[in-house]
Amino acid sequence: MAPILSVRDVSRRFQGLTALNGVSLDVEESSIVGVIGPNGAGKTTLFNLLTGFYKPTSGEIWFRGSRVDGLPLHRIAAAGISRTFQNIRLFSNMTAIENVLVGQHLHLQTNIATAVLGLPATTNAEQHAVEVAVAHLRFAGLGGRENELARNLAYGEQRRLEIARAIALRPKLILLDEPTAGMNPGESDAMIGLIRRLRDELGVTVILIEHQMRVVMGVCEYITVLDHGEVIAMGTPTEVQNDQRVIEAYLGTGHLKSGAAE
Amino acid sequence: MEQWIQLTIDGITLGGVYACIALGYTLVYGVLRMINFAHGELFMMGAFAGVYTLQGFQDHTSLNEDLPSLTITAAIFMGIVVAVVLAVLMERIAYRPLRHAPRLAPLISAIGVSIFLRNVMLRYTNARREVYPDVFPDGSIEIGDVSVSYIKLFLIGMSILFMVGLYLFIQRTKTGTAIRAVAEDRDTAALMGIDVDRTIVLTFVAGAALAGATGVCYGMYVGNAAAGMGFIPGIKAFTAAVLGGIGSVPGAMLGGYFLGLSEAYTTKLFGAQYKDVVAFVLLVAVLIFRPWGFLGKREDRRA
Amino acid sequence: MPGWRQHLPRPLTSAPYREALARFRETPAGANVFRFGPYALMPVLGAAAALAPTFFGTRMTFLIILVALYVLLRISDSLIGVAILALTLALLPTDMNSFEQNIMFNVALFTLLGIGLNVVVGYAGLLDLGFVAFFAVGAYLYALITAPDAGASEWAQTWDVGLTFWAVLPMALVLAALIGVLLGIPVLRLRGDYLAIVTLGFGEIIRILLTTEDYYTGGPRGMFLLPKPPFFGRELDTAYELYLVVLVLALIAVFAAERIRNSRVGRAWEAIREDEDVASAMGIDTTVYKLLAFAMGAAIGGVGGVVIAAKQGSVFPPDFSLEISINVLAVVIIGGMGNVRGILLGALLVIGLPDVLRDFSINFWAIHLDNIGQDYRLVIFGAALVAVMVLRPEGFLPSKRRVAEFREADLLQEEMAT
Ligand SMILES: Nc1ncnc2c1ncn2[C@@H]1O[C@H](COP(=O)(O)OP(=O)(O)O)[C@@H](O)[C@H]1O
Ligand SMILES: [Mg+2]
Repeated sequence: MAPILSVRDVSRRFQGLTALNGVSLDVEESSIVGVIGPNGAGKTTLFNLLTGFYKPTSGEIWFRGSRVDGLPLHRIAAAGISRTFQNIRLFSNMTAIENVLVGQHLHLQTNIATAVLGLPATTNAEQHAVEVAVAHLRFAGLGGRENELARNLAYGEQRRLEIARAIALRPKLILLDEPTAGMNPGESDAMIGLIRRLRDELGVTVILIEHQMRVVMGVCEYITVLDHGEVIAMGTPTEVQNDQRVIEAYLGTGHLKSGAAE
Repeated sequence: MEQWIQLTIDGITLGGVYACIALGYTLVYGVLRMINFAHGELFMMGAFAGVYTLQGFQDHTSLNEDLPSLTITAAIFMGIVVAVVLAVLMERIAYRPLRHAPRLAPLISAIGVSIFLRNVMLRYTNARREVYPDVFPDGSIEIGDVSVSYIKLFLIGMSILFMVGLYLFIQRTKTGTAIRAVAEDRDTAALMGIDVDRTIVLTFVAGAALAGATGVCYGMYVGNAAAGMGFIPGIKAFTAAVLGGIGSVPGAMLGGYFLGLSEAYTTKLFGAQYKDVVAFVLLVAVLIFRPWGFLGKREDRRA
Repeated sequence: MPGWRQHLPRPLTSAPYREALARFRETPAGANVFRFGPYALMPVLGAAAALAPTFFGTRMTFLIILVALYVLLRISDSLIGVAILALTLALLPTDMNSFEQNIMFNVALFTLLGIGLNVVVGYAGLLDLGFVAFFAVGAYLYALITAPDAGASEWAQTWDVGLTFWAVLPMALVLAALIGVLLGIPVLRLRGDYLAIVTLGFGEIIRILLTTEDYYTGGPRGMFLLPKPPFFGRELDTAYELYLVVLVLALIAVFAAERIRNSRVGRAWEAIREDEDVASAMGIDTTVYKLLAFAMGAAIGGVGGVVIAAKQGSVFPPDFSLEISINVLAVVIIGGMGNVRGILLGALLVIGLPDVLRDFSINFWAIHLDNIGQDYRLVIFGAALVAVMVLRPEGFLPSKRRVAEFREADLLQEEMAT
């Protein structure tokens, strides 16, 4: 089966700095893939390229049989890729449910004329959208928090609201940038459960950037390791864990060892 | 041919003024990513400070005739002082509390400051012009068929002097280095021990000093000061800053002269009434085709 | 963040006040006050409107209206509240003299314009400083189309289409929207701050062109003898009748703007205002939506222009100066960005109050200021813009959250829980 996402020899430079260098990566449909690597390895940059925030300096990105690099952000979203952000970027002065409703933008039809007329069809569609949004929030474990302003949510809730908003797009592929950052072990476990459900219940392909080895090993079926903008290893969690170059790259950071020990 | 040379000289004269004001926009934009809408009014207030100083000398002494160089220097100094004081106040009152507010807030606040200053002066002067005493020697030098008045030469020279001064300040002094560091990356600069608040104030001070001094020289050149005089030059200087690449010091200078010359030639080619239109046409054109300007850096969105 | 703001007295909207109000609202008596209070206020306002000018004079009347409206707007947000408000406003000037009626006309006109600009600035977060351009488009369109024989435009004299006010209104709406889109296309892709300057420049360019292109516009000599709106065989020519026309237009605009705001389109605007890149990553074509906001604001501005041209019966380039744009901006900001109810209050404060206090003077110790309303209005606006941004960015009538929409969600929630 053809991969849902295919990154082909992609590089990205910022002035002098090469953030990504010749990265190639295939992702199978309905898999959960981890991207790991030390800070500054280029993981977030990879996500930014996949979602159109940056354009690659060279290389191609193919998604479901068509080329998406260089497309504007909203076209990539429409193609079926959505994401969360390492530094949470919610619409902070909007309520939780409004955030999710914005995520449904592509699946609603109301325009200026129909909004002004306010015909029953429009009102019903809006009502339905609200119900769908509530369902998304409940999926992400935010039932009951609909009317809270995003900025007033607890940190962990904000991370989950980002996921609720991302699934509101009904994506084929979802990119999670450090979803458990700053969470305690209990919260991380809940997040692992949520990530699995994304795939198992919604059938979404997941790529996640993660630092906690416990999470990576626990949820990812396949792992790509980045270091200094290059892929230094890929494979199953066990293969990667025993890869000499990975161990070297992490030497001194202690991440892998402490993670593996858990 | 002489006419074109004459136009070129006019363009350089005006361009120097635009460049000096544009530097203030660019510096403040560099450190705060904010357009200081009220910057043109600092230029205007400088011109008023200058005219009142010279009128004071006129009324109470004979120094304007005996020692014009002294009174002119004093006028420029007063222009600088007034503009700097106002700039510090406006930063403190209208901008600093909004540093973390949504991006529209400081912009609207700046527009408020601009409207306020302009109309305070409009009331204070009863909407009349204040005429500069005749301190500067009349006359001109002739080169072939082209004649250039002394005051024009003075304005050209002063604007170059101010710019060189500012350039050295930015490049050679510790404060200048701090300003550049804050413009590059405020958080990193703070980590390296730079007092960001103080640096931002000093950036306003530097831009204001330049605008105030230029205001006095420009006022002497046109012969008066008026409440509305900062508005159009302010917008045009902003255009110059964008043309050159906002945030770039050499860009602001280049943009200023480019705009000054474009305007001078437009007067000849299309008629004087289109003089003010050309700046905006250029602004829109550059924003479409090269939004980072001649010398600016492209900025990626951050994620 | 500690600072001197902490030492100021608490604003009325601070938490304890709001909580007390909410508690009161939950008691049966409170609920009734909130439900029927607006109805009860209506005869009070009506009486005040009818009697006040005679008893108190213009100034006091105006202040009474202001206070009453503030109270009304604070406690009621329902459609009924708006209807009562509209009715009260419609009856208000019946007993006024023509000077006062003209003030009310201006208030209503700037409310209309404010609603238009608010779509751009408040909803979509785009700072448009050239709003007067669209106002001018509407006004000159009206002059050109309805008055072939009047004024200095030779171009208008070459044709005579015989259209009236009512036909020009939708034309102005469409034309202004189109011009808004044409102007917006090059600049809306760019950073917000640039937009402010480019629109400012555009407003100025329009005024310059109105002066220089005299074959079309009549230049500085303008166009005049423009007809009044016909209405069932007569003409609407008093200030009061034209006031009613604007009031109706403003009401329609409020209605449209509020509905759009509470729809997918309004949410897209709000998302763009909050974080443009993320909005785009949610699938929103930000350029299209910004253009939409710009076009809608422009359309309302164009309609306002038609009205002013009909009211004045003439158009001259200086009528379309930057000051109009600044006034409309002040109306929007002081009323509370993004909030249509506040706009009316903003218009009363920014447009009405200075006229009422036109010859008011302050003599206090060494300070002697005459003609406050007339001469110092812009000084005060400037300071007010800063003060509002620094102290009360949400304006004097902060917008209420749209809770109604989500009460349904709560219900759903409760059903599932039980
Ligand atoms: N917009 C940008 N401009 C300049 N450098 C950038 C930009 N974005 C990322 N970088 C650089 O690229 C490198 C990789 O960053 P990133 O992808 O964020 O790493 P991480 O793997 O920690 O997510 C870093 O050195 C970072 O400083
Ligand atoms: Mg990262």
